[in-house]
Amino acid sequence: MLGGLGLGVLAVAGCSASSAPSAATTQPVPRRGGLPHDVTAAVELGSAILGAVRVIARVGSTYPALVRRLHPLVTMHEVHVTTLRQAVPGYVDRATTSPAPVTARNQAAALRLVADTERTLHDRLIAAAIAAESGRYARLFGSMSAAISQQLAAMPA
Amino acid sequence: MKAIDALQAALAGEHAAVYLTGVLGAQASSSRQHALYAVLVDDYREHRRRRDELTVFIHDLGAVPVASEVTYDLPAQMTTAAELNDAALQLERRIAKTYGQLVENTAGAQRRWALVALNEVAVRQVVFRGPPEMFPGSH
Repeated sequence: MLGGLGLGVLAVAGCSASSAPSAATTQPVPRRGGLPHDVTAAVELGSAILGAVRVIARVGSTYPALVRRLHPLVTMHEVHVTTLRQAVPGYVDRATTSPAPVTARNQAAALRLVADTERTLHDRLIAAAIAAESGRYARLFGSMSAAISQQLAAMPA
Repeated sequence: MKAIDALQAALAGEHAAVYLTGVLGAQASSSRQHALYAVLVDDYREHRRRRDELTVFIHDLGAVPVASEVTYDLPAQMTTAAELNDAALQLERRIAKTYGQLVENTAGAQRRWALVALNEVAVRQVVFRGPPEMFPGSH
């Protein structure tokens, strides 16, 4: 019974942290059957993610000491955008406006700026998941939102 | 998969999670492993809350909520704090997939609830010192 339900205590016992599947094997790419609404949402989200990456890059150029700490966020966003590109036939990156120059007065303020940007992106992903017409796109967007939640939880204060 | 089947699968998962987190909490020492004990107790409460909410959802749909098993197979190693933590982490990873499935197979308010649950269990993985994943709750 447990095995078919996707949660088995026995199976839990057989797993270890090192056996977690890699990102390459867990990308829930909905290659086909994406509805026009969802395709549009995916492209818009890709643009929003690139905007968030630019904010991080701007913060990193202002505060080089933060580059290493923010690297996992950038990696996650790059993987997400790659997945969106693979999911949407004929995907073309939309032009994004350059973010406003970072005005954070110190590193702590810069980290708050990044966190606020990530929370905004997270909320957009949740909204897109709720509105998605395809369950596969809903799961993809929802999974991406959960990835941001994890990054925010792991982000050093 | 129909929404009701995904809801039943999530409920079955939470039944197992409530059982396992209860055992893990019982194994942990509240005095010697205070931090771990506290997060396990919190985890137990969260799984129990979601189990109860899923039970209501399914009942409101006119279906009979799947019952808990009498017992579940337990991890072989549950002695040290690291083993207890690892068992809890693996549990959260697995139930995240169940909630990913629920997001995929529901709509409207049920999907919204599933998204909140998915995000919550994803964060619990970090609480149990799991590294962030690229796609929590995916296949």
